[in-house]
Formats: sequence, C-alpha cells, structure tokens
Amino acid sequence: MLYSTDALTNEVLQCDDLEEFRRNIISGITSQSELWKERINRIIRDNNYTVNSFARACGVSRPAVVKWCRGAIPRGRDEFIRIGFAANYGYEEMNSFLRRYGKTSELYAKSLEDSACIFVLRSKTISHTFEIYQSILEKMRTALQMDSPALNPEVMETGEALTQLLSMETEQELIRFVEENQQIYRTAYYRLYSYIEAFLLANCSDEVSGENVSVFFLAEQQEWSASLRRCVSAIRQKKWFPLRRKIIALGLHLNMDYDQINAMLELARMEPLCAKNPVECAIIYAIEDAKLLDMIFCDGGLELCEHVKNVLTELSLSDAAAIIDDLEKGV
Amino acid sequence: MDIVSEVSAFLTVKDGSGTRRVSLSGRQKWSLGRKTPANDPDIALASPIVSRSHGEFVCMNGQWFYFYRGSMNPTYYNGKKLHSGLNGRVTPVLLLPGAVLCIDCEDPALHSSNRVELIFSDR
Repeated sequence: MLYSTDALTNEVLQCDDLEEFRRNIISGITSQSELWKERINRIIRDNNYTVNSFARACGVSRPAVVKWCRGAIPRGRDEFIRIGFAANYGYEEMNSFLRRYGKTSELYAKSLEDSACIFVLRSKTISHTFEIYQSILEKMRTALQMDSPALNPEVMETGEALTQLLSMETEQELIRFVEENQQIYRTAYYRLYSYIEAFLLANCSDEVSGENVSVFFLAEQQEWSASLRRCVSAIRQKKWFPLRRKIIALGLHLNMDYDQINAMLELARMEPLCAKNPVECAIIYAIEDAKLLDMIFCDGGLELCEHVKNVLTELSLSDAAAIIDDLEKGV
Repeated sequence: MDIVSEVSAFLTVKDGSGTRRVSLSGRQKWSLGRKTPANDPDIALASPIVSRSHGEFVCMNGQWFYFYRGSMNPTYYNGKKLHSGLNGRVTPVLLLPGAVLCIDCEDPALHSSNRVELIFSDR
C-alpha cells in the first residue's frame, strides 16, 4: 500500500461500512504481528542466540520467547526494553525499536526508568545489560526522596535533562543529578494527568448531583477492567507510566473522539493514532462510525467502548486481544 | 482534585478596544465572551464575531487550559482551527507560554477588522 499515513487516515474516515473498510483498508495493511515475528526472529538469528539463551538474556521464560517468535507482540514497554538490551541496541536504536515495534514513546529523560536506561545505553564504562540497568534504577529510586515537597514542574526542560544525561560518565554523577532534580521525575506526566482531569471537569458530571466526577468514580461505576482501574489508581497518585494501549482504552472509556485521544497521546509524547497499524486503523474507523451513528455521549455511557470492541471482534485482528481486554467490563 | 489557581498567568488581549494585559491569577475559571446587557463575562472581548459565551480559561493542577465550546466563528490555536467535541463535548486545549488563540471570521472580507487575538504567557 503506497498511501502516506495521513492519506490512509482520510481513506479510513471515508469508509461507508465495515465491509468496505475490511475490503479496501484492512486487507492492504501488513499485520503488526507479521512484522514483529520477522523482527524478533532476526534479532535472535543476528545475535547468535538460541531460544534458551535469548530468554536468559531478556530475563523471561522460554515459552514467552517462543510466543514472540510465533508473532505474539509483547504487551509491556518493559519487555521491549529487555529485548532491546538483549539485541545490543544503542540509544538511537532503542528509541526507534520502542517507537516502531512497541508503539510506545521514545526514552524520556524525565522518567526515572528511562533516565536509567539512557544512562546505561550511553555509558562507555559499564555493561549494557538489563541487569545493570535494573541495579542502577534501584540506586536511583533510593536516591529519590519521595516525601520531599513537590516543586515547580517546569524547573528543567526535557531537552536540557536529556543533554545532561547523555553527557554523564559515572554513576555518581547520575545519582547526584537525581538527588538535585527530584521534581522532574515526579511531574513527568503532569500535563497528561491535568488534561484527563480537565476533560472530566469540562464534560462529565454526575447525573443526580450535577457535580463533576472523578476518573476513579467513572472506573468504579462502569466496572472498567481491573488493569485499567489500576491505571486510574496510578493516575490519582500521579505515578502512572502511560502505555499507548491504555491511553487509547482510557480515551474510549471517557468517550473521547479521535482528536482528543490524539491530544492525550501527544501529551504522553507518543505518535497519534496510526492508520498503518491494523488495530489502530480499525479504532479510527470505529470512532468515526460511532460518531456518524451518534454514539458518543457526554453521560459517560459505554456505547463507544462497545462499538469499538464489536468492530475489532468482527474484523478478527490477531493483535486486538489486548485492547479488547481493556474495553471489557471487569469482574 | 486541586483546582485552585496559584499559578501566575497572563493574557495579552488584542480586540476592537485595543491591546491590554489581563492577569489570570486568583481563581480557577475565567469566562470569555462578548459583553451584553444580560451577559458579563470575566474577560469581555470587544468584537461582534465573538459569542456571548465563547470559552473558558481553566487552571487544573497548575496547568492552564482553554475550554473550547464551539462557536459560530472559528477559533484557532497557534494557527490550527479548533473543533468542538461531539454532542456538545468540550475540547480542553493545553496552553503553553506563547500560545496564541485567535478568533476570526471564515469570511475573508471580514478578516482583520473584527479579529481577536489572545496571547498566553506565564510572566
């Protein structure tokens, strides 16, 4: 398919029904699962791993690697980072890998976990392994005094934090940086959290009292999936490390439209919904279809979630199971 | 939910009455619109193309947002046309220092004379 992503998005938005969408769009997009299968098998081959030795290098079980090799896409960003270390990626390669295959944000200098990762990947004096990364992360966590008062979120720009991280040579420098700049880690996704709260303030109120509802209240009331409710709890504590899939699921639960979900992705430093990914392409179609069917309401109803879930199920996309789980009601 | 604004922010307003600076401190919400005998917005804009209730500036956890509610004449954020959400849903727009909101006519013949510009800053 020779479309640019924008042109493809426009094609999706013009589909009249699911059959046309399936025939003209989905059939032409290479499955993410196929691309992933090819990539992971190449990583193992190029680095002379066996399945067992690759599982050890990643710190995961052998069956997990076997599933990946058959096309199962890792669900967490953490797994992509493990694989990136095992593949001996440098900083730029890791970023590209996270973006392309993990569909997640690049390494972000204001996240504690990512800072540790950036430091290890750029260091000339320590081994670039997942174990070393974890041990450094643990030291950084210890250095981060979580009970000190929150400071101005804009104290240091991301670019400046990244420049400093990239120039560090020793662990001591890194730890000192963490101690002196605690506030940047605590406020990394401040804007995203604020956007979610602002959206609720503007759009969602309790039918009886008329008061604005919290995202936690909505999650309980609508029986969101357990994993999404854990995200909500983390948002309340301002400790959420957003995964792309969870942001999309959250947006659908909040009855956001295409632009609003993209606004959240942008605040999490991620790419907008991508029409070249079959699952995201189907979600774009389903949101547009729901819009035309007048299914996006202000009352916190679940019609949009149900509709997206039905479209994904109907299309039988191999990579859609995880997001369908997030759109299911919890038990 | 911390919704009280303790964060200093300012708007430079350019409308039919000239250019002025408005401080957004001391409260969480500031309404924006055209003043009429029955309508007295916090920030009154002198322009016939502005709706009586055009939008709101809201501070959420120290971040300022513009709540765009849709209007007859379009509003642009840094040159990009804003779209209201479906079924009356409000689209919050995060305001960063230097952000420019512009209310203008679709009709080029009316352009500039009634145009309103709001520039957001934190100092």
